[in-house]
Amino acid sequence: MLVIAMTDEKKDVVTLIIDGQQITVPKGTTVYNAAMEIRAKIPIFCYQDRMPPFGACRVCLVEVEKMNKLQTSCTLEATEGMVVRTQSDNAVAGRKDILEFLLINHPLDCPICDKGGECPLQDNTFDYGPGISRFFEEKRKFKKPLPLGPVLMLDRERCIACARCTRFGEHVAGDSALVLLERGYRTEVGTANGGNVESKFIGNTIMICPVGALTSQAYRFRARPWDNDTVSSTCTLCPVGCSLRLDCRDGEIMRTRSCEQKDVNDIWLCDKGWFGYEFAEHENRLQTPLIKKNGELKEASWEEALNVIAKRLDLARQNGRIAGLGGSSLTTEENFLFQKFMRDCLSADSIDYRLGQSIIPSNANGMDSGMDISIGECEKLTNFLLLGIDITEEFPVIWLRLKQAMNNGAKGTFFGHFTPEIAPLLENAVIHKPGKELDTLKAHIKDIEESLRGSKRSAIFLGRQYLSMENRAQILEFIKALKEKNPNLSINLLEGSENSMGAHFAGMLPDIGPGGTPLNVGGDDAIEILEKEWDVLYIAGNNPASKLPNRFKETRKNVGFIVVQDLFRTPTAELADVVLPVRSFIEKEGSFINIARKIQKLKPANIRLQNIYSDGEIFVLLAEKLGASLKLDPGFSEELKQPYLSISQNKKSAISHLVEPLKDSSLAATFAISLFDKGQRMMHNKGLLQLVKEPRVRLNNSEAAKRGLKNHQKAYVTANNTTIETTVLIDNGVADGTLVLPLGFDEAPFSELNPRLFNGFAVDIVGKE
Amino acid sequence: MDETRILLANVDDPSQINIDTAISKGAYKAIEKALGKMPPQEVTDIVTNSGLRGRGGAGFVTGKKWGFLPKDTEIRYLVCNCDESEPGTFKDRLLVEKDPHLLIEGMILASYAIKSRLSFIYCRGEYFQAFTILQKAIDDAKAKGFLGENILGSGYSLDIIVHPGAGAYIAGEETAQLNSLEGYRATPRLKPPFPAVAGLYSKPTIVNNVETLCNVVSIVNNGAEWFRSRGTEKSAGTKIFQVSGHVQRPGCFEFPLGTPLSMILEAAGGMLPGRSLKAFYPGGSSCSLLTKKHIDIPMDFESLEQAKTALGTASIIVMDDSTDMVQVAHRLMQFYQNESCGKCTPCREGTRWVVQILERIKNQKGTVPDLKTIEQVCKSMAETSFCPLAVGAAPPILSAMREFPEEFQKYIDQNPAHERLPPMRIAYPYIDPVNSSFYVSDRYDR
Repeated sequence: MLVIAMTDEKKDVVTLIIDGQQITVPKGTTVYNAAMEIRAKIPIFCYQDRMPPFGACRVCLVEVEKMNKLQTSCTLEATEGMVVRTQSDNAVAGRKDILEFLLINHPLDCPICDKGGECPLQDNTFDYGPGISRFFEEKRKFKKPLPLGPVLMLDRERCIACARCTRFGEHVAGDSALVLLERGYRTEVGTANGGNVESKFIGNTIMICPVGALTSQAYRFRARPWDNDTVSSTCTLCPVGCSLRLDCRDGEIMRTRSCEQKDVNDIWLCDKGWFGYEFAEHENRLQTPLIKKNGELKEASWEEALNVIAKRLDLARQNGRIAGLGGSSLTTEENFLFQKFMRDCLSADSIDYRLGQSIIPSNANGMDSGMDISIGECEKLTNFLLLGIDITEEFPVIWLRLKQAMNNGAKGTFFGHFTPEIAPLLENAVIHKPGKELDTLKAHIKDIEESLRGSKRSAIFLGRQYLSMENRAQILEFIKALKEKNPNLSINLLEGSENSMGAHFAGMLPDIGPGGTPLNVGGDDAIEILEKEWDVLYIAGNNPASKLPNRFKETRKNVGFIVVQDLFRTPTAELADVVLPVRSFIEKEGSFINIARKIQKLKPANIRLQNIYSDGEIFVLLAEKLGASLKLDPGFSEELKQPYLSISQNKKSAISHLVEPLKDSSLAATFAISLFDKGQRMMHNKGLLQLVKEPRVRLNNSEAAKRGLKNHQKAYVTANNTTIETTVLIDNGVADGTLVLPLGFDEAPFSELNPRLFNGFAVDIVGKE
Repeated sequence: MDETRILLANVDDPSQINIDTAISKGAYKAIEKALGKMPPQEVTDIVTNSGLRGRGGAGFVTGKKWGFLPKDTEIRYLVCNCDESEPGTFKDRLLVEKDPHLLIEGMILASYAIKSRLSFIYCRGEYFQAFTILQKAIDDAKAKGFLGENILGSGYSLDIIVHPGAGAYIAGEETAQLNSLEGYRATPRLKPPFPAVAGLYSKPTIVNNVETLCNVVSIVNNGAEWFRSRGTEKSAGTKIFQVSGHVQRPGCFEFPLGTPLSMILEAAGGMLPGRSLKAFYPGGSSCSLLTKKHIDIPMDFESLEQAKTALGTASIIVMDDSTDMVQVAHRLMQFYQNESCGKCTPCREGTRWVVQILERIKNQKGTVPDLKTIEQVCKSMAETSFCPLAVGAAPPILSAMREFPEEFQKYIDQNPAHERLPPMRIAYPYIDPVNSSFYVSDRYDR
């Protein structure tokens, strides 16, 4: 459909007169935007400045000299010498008429509507409406409310058919999740197949809905906007780290909303950001420390629990048999305190946060993860390559920014092991067997170079399909060579989870210290930690018993004492000797370093929370008990005050083979991350949990036929002498010779097959009789 | 006066749909004359000089429209608008069902003139027969070498695709038609860009009516002067007038533009026995009606414009003295209410609102301010709507109220409480007071 091309070159300007004021604006500016420059008062409904003008609601009418009809200012381009009157009698009357039209079929149920108090229709009616109605007929009626899936609720009567939500799907998210059905006065919003809405970004439509037609099932009827205390913070549920606002009422979290941040998420969030806060209020949240007595975890006081831990740590630190497993949900400061506590107080070198992520020796990873450009700059790209990244699942909001670039004419190409859902929007999607990355890139080098040559701003985004490979360093060498020929090209390594950039920077690694300094003497990495004997294993914000259930059972036998800090009684907590409750990301302060190295700040919401410390506070308390004082280094804190992390990407040498080379006949495995998985917090989000799809191993039709596998059949997946039972999903978007293994599900712990989570290892699949 | 049959010359012969019969009567002569022998610009010039104006309603000069295409683009499209849905309009149906090769020949000429290599016929969804006939005619023309690669050795290639609509009046609006053709909802697009600059699949596109394209054949065959010799100065050529309503012999009649209405009515057999003319819509339903005092009005673009109405599609809806004008207004507004695409507020809400008021008036529940409200709503709707649909929805009702106010007043007077405002029925609470249950129409229940 229509694409409005936008240019950032301010070649020409036009001068026009609005309400008697002369104003000069760049050519191509709409009259509405020009009028906003002089703060004219014009209401809008269908126009939303992140999407092209639509001109449907007609409420932004203005009078323009030499035009015989009233004009919609949101669609009219300002031209030289134009004379516009926004407040003429005619224009005011026209807008009144439109508001009357909009209200005739709108139920005036503001007192029971969730949008009340933050409703553009309410506000505009108050400011510009006629005050009375000439409408005496019967209003349009619909059965209400209509749930469109587990998070979105639709009240069709309230809809004014501005089509913001449907155009969001078309222009911003690219998923066309909502569509308009029927026509004329019967027009209603719905889904194309009449079922639940299928989207990762549907929360945004609730925000941009100018009436109470789309509401959040999690927030419905819980609060009035004027009762909410709002705090700006950061979402830590994926490495994008979007800015969000936390709304609390009477000490309880009510909802999260996006917070405009040009450099990261613009005004959008993914649905994890919109609805991923419910876990904080879940009844299963740990409230007090637990101590194992007679094989059972019993509630205990903080004093008691901390004393038990301190005693064990004090004993163990004499012979240094202590290891620490961190997690990427900790803030950067907490990670720093954790590693300092382990290294300085307990003389323990074996610390790692990477359990559940690919473990690549950091002295040989070719290049550190992170982005060359800011996430905001993605919108200005003219060409991009997605290499082995399922972007909507792993970095959802970055996709929204790339889609914006595509709306402005950018071209995108995908290479990887299986087709991403956005493939239909891309120029090309090339799929290939894991291990054939370099061969495939070389085979398409002409096309790649051609597309880069003509492009003003290009970027390559590498994801875990390419980066968690034995030949990672060679792939990166290849990319670096491309960069040398194309100075406009930026290289972005999108890998990790949540605050893994922060954990890395804090030095929560066996071979890297704070600030990314390589250490000479290294400890054991996460997998080695699980395989060795320890006096004390300290786990904060990680859940090895879910990811590697069999291994962790062995680990338990080899470890004298396990401490776990978590939000819930996870499977790991069940096996621990002491469990400490902690604060979640919406209840604590700190810094989050996102994938583009932007330092995002966390602020605690105004929540009533007693008797619970944050991970960082616990480390400080324990250090005190051990006679040490644990503090952040001033230099480290100073660094976190900057808008962006200043460390640059280290370019390193190649690494040797990490995975056995494949025999050609066998299937090669590749891991896939889902946005909606069954991690601990997801499990405790009532709405989002229903969006989780059952984990299934995916392979294409011909590979399934070779092995006699049918769709939805039960099967055994075997690799490295480990077998896991699972269900098959036939998906012809998967490359030949490839088996896609989902990560993040307790019932299918595929990490066991290859705990360092490398792709490309040989795997077998046999149907269950 | 007898009809001047040029477009309709062969529609009475049932075998005209066979390509051999059509060829024997002179079909595809014009493309032999033009393709490869005249430069495309010359064809455009002939059409411009002929003064041919679009027959789809707006009456824009066809050659001038073709001239709006940017010169330097490679891909252009011609779309033939065969989504004939204006009430009272049935000329395109006759043409495509009875003489499909005339349209195909016209499309080849027009496509050649604008250098389109792929052209489309957007056929009204309900025209099942027309769709089949067109499809066969295209296949036959292809077999004879009139379509496809290198037509008649001229080096020019063209394919035509027939696409059935899905049953929406608004798809006759050219930008809505392009959306529908692309597979989207048939809703009008924002202009600019105009279709000639960015139309189908964002490529320069010309949308022409069936009758317009059929006219191109005889213009190329006989020249611009020949065409101009019929009709008036500003409305050249002949026109198919469709007469429906209270006449003895409704149907299509071809006359030169400017022929007086009385003559066309005569051709249609005159009024039904014992009845007299009360009013008529001269150009389909989307225009102001005229009354019997306009019985001799010349039927051409400029005369009707002067009479504050429009030639439109030249579909004359005749109403005799038995007609209830409130009924007419209600029925027509119902049509616009049902056919409004729902994109813009004034049309979506306004058409429905007026239907509701007229329904109330018909049910003898009308009140004094109702006529004022209808008038204001119609005017405001026409003034502020996105596309011409609502602009066309207002005049038929407003003109009926203007010409026959006493008929509306009579209904209102039948309401004993017509001086009181009706009670406001707000849809809350949701409970139906009679059944204490949800009041929900089945239609919307999912």
